[in-house]
Amino acid sequence: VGLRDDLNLCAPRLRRYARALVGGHPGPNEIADDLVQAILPRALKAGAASRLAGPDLHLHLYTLITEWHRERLGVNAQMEKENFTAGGARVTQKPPLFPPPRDKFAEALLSLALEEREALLLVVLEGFSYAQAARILKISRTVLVARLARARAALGEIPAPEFASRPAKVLPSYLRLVK
Amino acid sequence: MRASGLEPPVSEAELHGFVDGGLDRGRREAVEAFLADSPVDAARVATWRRQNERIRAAFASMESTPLPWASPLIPSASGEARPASGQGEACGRSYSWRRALVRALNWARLRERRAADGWRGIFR
Repeated sequence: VGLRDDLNLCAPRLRRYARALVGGHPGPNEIADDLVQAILPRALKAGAASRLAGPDLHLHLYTLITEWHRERLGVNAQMEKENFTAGGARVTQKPPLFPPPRDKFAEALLSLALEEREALLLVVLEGFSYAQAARILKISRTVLVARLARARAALGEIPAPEFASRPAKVLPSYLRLVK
Repeated sequence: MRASGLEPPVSEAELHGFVDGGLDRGRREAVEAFLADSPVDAARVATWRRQNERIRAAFASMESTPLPWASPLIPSASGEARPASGQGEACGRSYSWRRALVRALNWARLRERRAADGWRGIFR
């Protein structure tokens, strides 16, 4: 009972992190939402097997999202490479796996190296302590702070988000039902 | 970097910790004193603060956006529909004693069952 409830309570924050990571903005993002939806059942299984609970489970979920997202980017790069080196013309122009950024704010976030973006979002957006963020990313505290520092130096003065002032609309759900 | 009195000098990491609220009171005061003397670092720290604020502001609307799929996603085993709350309070560091108790009981029950299985195995 506890685990399912924990996961349901974590879902909004996980979705926020996933959307920031993938799209750099809070608007609907099919990839990010799918990511969260794919993670939760997996976490349910893993959590039930290892009896993760409370804060440990919470950190583990963020690790799962981060790793899943990296995997996806890796797969994307791999596919592009194969398409390119397969010989002959590139067969089909697939739509990009990640849609282009919406505005200057999102663009600034997405321009960061992935490692820097992960560190920055975990600390600033999700409010994790350095120790927790380092655990999520499986790095040392020193490396975490170095990534944060690089992210901040690269960001400089970021423009105010344009979408923040818009009233939140009821968002359509792109999500399928999972048993 | 300057050291004032016996205090160790303020490090770059501590400047970040200052912005992210990770310093204890003593070091916070040391950083404040350091920044008062160092306008260049104070400006950097102010920029980081604005970055933090903008990032949080950008996603603040998500706190109040209900999850359309909160309850159907993983139905609670107890069968009751949970409110699609965007607060997420319980997901952070605050865990109520009731939840902790339920968890402890579940754990104890599981141990008991494991133990019982073990005995059955021996006597079979």
